[in-house]
Amino acid sequence: MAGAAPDPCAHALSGRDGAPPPPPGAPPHAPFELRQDRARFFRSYLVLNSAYYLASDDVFGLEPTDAGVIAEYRPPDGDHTTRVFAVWIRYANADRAAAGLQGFRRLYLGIEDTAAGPRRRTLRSIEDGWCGVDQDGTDLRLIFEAPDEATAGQLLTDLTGRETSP
Amino acid sequence: MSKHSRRTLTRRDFVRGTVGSALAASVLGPSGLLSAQPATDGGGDAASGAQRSRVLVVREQSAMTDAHNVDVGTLRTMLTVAVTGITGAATAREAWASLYRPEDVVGLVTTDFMNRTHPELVTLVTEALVDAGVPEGNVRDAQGNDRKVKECTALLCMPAMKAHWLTGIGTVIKNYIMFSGKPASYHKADSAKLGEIWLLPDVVGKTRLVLVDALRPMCNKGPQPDPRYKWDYKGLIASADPVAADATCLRILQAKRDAIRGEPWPISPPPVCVEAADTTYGLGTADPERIDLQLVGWDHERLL
Repeated sequence: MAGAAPDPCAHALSGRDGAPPPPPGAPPHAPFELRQDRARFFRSYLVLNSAYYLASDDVFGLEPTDAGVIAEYRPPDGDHTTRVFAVWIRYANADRAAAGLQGFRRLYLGIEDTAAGPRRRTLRSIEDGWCGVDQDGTDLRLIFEAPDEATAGQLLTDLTGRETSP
Repeated sequence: MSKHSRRTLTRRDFVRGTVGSALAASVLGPSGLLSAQPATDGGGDAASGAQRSRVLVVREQSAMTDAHNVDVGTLRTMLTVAVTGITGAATAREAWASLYRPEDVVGLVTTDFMNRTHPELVTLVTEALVDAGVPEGNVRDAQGNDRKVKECTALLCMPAMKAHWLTGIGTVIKNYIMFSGKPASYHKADSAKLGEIWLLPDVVGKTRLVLVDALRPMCNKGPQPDPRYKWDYKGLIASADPVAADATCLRILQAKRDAIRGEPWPISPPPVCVEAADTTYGLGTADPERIDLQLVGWDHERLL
């Protein structure tokens, strides 16, 4: 999200222990804009749930050293029925991010991974739209409620800043 | 990460409409309490089958001043309307006497901190019970722990209406959490098991009336007070059915949230404790189709 204005919440958290969460911004390609008043930072799934309910348990395996942000995007034409949510979690290390990806796939998407581990990027059509998840190093990025596969993939790409999965 | 064997309840369950079966089959799990004793009254009078429940909502514009102070005279009138309306008695004294006897030890279960039940309401209820023949020493504060409730023969559930960041709604069903002796454990799985507390041996069958302080509710966050989400509803909500009362409070809180944002703003986490109190614990009905609402007084932004 090059060029995105720093978020005041990110500044507020930047002096704390643990990895600072990335600031949200408008995706450069997708036809959505950030709802400035709907971005939240979290270190606990309970706080995430208060902004966007995902699950009764911590499907990401978060610890106090981890930090995340949830952001809501809408089309700029004022359409209030279309919305997409992005979650970006920065873990203390890549192993825990990989475990977070596996936990999300198992508990939320119902995908049991093999011992070889999960694919790092997954796009899946679920009940409320397209869901995408991508792990890169210490970062886990997710898209919820995208209207179609292409949009979900594009938004994930916008978030990750790269076109393909490793 | 979940380390237990029960299934995680997810957003997908709610979108699919399978939350009820998910709750019953896995989140709540087997309960000795459930097999031991079905609820018979409040929890809950309206427990079985197609039985209908009544909820009375009384509001008065003059119940609170612009500075959010309670007008005690108006509140006294509202209380009389509520208790006579829900019992069918001709007078307040007869109404209270039909619910609580002189030999009862009546526990008032209030919200005692953060968005607390207005003390003016507690005072008026105490006076009314004494006027109806309950010795003053037998009207007690029962909130706080399981020892207090054990000493009571009857309970009056009188929480303040609010959303809650761990339970979705922190009003009626949630109000007895301290009676469990282990409140933290009841916040797991989105607090779905809160209804179980109403079936504990020292609690079950004691609640004769639910009286919700809806004078100045809070529709987001909670229990910590946040003035952005508090508003003067100026109401009391009365019912013998704790689930129907909570379900009605949910409708009001949800409608207020939607009005604030101008678009749907679902309560989060989903208040599964209310549905579970109905379908799993049999404490009453959460189904609006089986709740007879009686609306009295000020109808401005009633949200029902």
